[in-house]
Amino acid sequence: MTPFKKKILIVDDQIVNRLLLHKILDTKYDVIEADSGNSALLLIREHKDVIQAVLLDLIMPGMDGYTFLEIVKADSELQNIPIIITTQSEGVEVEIRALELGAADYITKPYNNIVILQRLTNIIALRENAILRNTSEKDPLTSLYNKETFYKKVPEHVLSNPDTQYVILYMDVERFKIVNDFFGEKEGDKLLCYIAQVLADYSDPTEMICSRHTADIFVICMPYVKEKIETYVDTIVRVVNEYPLKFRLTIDFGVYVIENIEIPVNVMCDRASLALENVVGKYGENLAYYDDSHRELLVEEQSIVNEMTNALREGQFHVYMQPKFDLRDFSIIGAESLVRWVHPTKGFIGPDKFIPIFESNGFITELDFFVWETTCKHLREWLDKGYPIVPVSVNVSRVDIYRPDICDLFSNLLKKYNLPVELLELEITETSYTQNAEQLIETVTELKKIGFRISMDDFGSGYSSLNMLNEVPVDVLKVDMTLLRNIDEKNKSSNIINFVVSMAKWLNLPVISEGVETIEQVNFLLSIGCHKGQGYFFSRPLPVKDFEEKMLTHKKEEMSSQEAFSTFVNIDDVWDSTSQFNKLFNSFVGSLALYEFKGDTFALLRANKQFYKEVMPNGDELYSASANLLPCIHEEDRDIFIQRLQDMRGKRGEDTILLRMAVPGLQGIHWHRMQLKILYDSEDSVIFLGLVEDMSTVKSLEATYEKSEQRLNTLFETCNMSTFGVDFTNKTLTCDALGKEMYGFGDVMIKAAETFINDGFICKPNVPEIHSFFSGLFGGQKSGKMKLQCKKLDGSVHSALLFYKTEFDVQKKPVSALCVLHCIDNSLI
Amino acid sequence: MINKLEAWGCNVQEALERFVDDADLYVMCLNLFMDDGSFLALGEALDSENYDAAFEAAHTLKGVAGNVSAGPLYETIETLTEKLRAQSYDGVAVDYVQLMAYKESLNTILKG
Repeated sequence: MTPFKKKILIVDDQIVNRLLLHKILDTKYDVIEADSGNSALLLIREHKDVIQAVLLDLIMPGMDGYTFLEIVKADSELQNIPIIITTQSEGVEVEIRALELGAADYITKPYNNIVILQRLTNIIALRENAILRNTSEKDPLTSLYNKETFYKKVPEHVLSNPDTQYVILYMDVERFKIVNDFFGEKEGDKLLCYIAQVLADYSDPTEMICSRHTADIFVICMPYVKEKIETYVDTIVRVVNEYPLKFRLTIDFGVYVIENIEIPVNVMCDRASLALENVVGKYGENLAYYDDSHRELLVEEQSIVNEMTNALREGQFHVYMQPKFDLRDFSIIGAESLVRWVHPTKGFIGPDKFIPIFESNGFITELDFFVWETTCKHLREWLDKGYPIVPVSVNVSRVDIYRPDICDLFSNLLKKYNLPVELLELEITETSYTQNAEQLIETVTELKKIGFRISMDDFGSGYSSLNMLNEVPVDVLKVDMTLLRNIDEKNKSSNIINFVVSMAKWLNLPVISEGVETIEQVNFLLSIGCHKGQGYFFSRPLPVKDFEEKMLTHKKEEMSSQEAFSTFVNIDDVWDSTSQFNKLFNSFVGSLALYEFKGDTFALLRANKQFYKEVMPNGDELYSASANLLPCIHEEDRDIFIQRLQDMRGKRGEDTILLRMAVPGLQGIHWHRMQLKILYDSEDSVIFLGLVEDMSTVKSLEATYEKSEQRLNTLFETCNMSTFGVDFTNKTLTCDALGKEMYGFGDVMIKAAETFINDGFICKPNVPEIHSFFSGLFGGQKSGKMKLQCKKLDGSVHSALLFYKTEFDVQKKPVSALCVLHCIDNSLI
Repeated sequence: MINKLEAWGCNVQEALERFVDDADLYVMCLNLFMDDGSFLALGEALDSENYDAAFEAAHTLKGVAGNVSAGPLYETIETLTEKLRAQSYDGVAVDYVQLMAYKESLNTILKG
């Protein structure tokens, strides 16, 4: 599909002029021609909506250009179409007369291609801007039709083309909000304008109507030809994705076929959007048609909406409680309050049917409050009756997070029922974070101030971001049951849970799993260190009466710990990862890698992007070869490294190891700091998760410093200079080997001046001078020197120079000084 | 053909730029120009001293002649048009004969 060109009308009686103009404009425009004023008038009326400009010759037999101009400019439907006259540079009178009649501009013969094209571009742009300013028909951002205009134009268009059947094509960019969040609203707007331009370029204006309704919702009316719709959709997706953005944009389309034009256009749009819902989030599918099952769904939804308020008033909603268990001894450690709708005629209505509707219409806040209050009532009752009691958690929907009074609501509930805050726990969902991270962080922080324990519900199910855990101060992570559901099949999701649990442990967050259904799942969870769970394996959600009974009669069920701890992990899963796992792993800010250790091999299994960027730029080769890394480790570090890996085993331990490595493809030796933690441990192999840091820069600086200090000392020695280290805090000197050997100085000279004087190193003691020398040094002078006569251990005497030079920090405090005793007696050199 | 036209006096380079390098279209337009009824109309109008009609025809011819860069032919028709515009009719008949002579020689090249 190619973009649709703008239409230009050429009016000239001379065929040569028309042919020439046609040739000049052909590449950029769709050209139509008239050889007289009369035929031009017919054409402009027929194409009035799409003609962008007219090129008009003034002198023609029959109706001339002037007459044509007059007629067009007097016609309210045509007068906005810009007309450029073609003249022959024959004086200004002609041009003025044409301009007076309403011509927008003129060009002269012989034609100049560049001038013609530029004038046309200018005139068209000018007109488009003018339309934008002067009418409220268009969306000011994208200059597509706005919603209201679309609603008006569609019936007109459909009715005036009775032989064609039309559709409403509803288009939505998935997660467009993320574009705004990541790149800013300005970039988001730029992208919207680009999308609008693509739609305008590829839509045939004679048979299609394009509009933008809100945000990233674009709606198009076009003829119902399935193949054409598919080609159009594919083209739009392809061209929109040519926009330079760091990630792929998924665009979904819903189609409603217009059968009855009496239905209001907004209802048609709703239906098209309902069809679109079917493909949102589905990989490889981006187009769906509205059919009758949608309508039934809509009717069902409507009945739920109609009945909800009444149902709450009449007590059709019931609070159920699902116990939470300690996986090790099967004791009840808590419960979650869940809502159930028992309808008088329809019976049990699943929460998946009504919760999403209530979330979208806001009724969820009322229902949630009902559950919170009912839960508090029961807790109070149990306390009063002296029943065994455990903390009960309630759900806080993302809609609730926006309530400005949410903290007050909860404190008032606690006050009203006189409950300790520990008994009521709050569960928030991960999706709240994607929608409004700041608000979520703020609310959670406030709730925590009151003392609530907050758990992150459905963690790992949606837009999981490990970085979120650093931002939102939650107390517990709840791993979504959908991640566990397939665990019996091919262990697909086990690694996600495994990873989540490992990360949570690193962050010191307890994890609870929901949706535990089999003993294998229990074993698996125990094997990765998750000790809490809820699910049908233990108990379904119970009516409150049954829950009370269970609490009263509950005995810890026996279970062999052997069975519980049996390893259930299939190591293959670590690299047979799902995209979910990838997301978690790759989104981590540090360099992460998975290693497999088999006693005599240590191989890189996979690593995140940061790892390949920072630590091993050529690591992907290693990965593909599953190469053993042990030979790359420095000989001296290798055995210690293996020993420490072995030491971690059996304890589920972790360790931080600093080692030297020859990184394939990189020069020299690299210092790696590996923070390792065991993920799986089976008899013949261990999987480690490693946070790796290349410390080479730090290490090489240290080495350079050591080396230069050594060199300096050698230099001093060969020149008969003994050096003293200066300690400014204790006001002491430390002597080097040469000084000790030649003069018999002690290791640490506490009172330097006295040592020099009293121990008789100085033959001609100049007491005031030596005192002022050292008080200058320790007092923070920049430098100082003095001559003296020294006595060596062997009794010989020689002249010497004693000097120092001090270095200061930014606050002018002395930090280090070099103090040297230099023998300058020739006989001794 | 293009070389012959150039030798005759057409500003071929200028014309081809205008015709987006489409030489075939250019030659075709020259042929169409040769058949333009305005040549005849101009002669008749001059004969009957209907100078308004003569100006209209000359003006039309001038526009096309310019677009096809018809060298000496363009210059002649330009002179003629300006005389008619200024209503000074001295020598217009001679100009017309010259114009038709150029037309014939150009036509010979095109048909040959």
